[in-house]
Amino acid sequence: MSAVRKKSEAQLHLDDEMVKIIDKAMLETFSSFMGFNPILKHVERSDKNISDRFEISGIIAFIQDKVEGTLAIRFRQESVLRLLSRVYGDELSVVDNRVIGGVAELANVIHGIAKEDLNLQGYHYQMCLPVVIIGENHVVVNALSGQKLIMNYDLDGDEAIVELVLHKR
Amino acid sequence: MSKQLRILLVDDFEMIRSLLKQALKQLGYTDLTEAVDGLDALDKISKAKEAGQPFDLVFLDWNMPKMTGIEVVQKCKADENFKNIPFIMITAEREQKSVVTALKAGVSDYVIKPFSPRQLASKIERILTSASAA
Repeated sequence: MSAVRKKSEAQLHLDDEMVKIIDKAMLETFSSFMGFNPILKHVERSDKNISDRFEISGIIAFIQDKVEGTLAIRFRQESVLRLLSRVYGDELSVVDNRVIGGVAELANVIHGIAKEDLNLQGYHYQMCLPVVIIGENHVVVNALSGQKLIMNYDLDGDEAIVELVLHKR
Repeated sequence: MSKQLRILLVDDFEMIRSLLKQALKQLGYTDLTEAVDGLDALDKISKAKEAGQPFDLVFLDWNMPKMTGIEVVQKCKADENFKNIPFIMITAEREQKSVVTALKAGVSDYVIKPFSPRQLASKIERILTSASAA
């Protein structure tokens, strides 16, 4: 039996502790993969759906027996092309399978780090597969929950946001 | 330490293969071959052996279409021709139980994404050391 008490009944909050967990995951991911430290510029909790400016989103679920949610990392097209060009070592100019795979993998790795931190606290989240949404000014709508945590990042001159939604099942 | 290792990199995401290539080249390893999924990996492992140039080491992802990394390892470990190839599993799955599952399947070591060249170097050195001691 796990030494850590299972917190299946606990309500996860979009609090400062959650901000720290996501920020640590962003830092580890971008510093290792791209060689710079992302800067968290702004945090807000809001029930609004952000549509403007973002054209590609990597989305991955958090699943547990009592609490579930989604994490989305969202980019403008020009930003994600610049960022992933660093990884691939050649200049990307269109959103192709390499870009889609890159965004999916970024979401996957950020989720994996955050999930580990949550599970060390006893939450027992499971691994999920990422999906990528592409489209000008698209909206990520979480049908079952109101408030979301929105974290705005400066990624070495480019912008991205992380949106996190959690709710009881 | 030998820099002449023949290394196979298996991941369905090109980004991870690209990051692995960059990191391994920084470490001086240049004989690198890529496979895009588990079936492609088995095919390349088999053909390399037939050509008399077997891989010395395989980095492979866990979750892939067509065949998972664990299945690739299990198939190779069950085959006399390939059972001695060391595999390093690369995954975003950090749970202890997953590490145990991978080790039970026969992987030699385990790298958590995101990885650094230093981490890869440490894993490779450990495998080379244990191989030379065997």
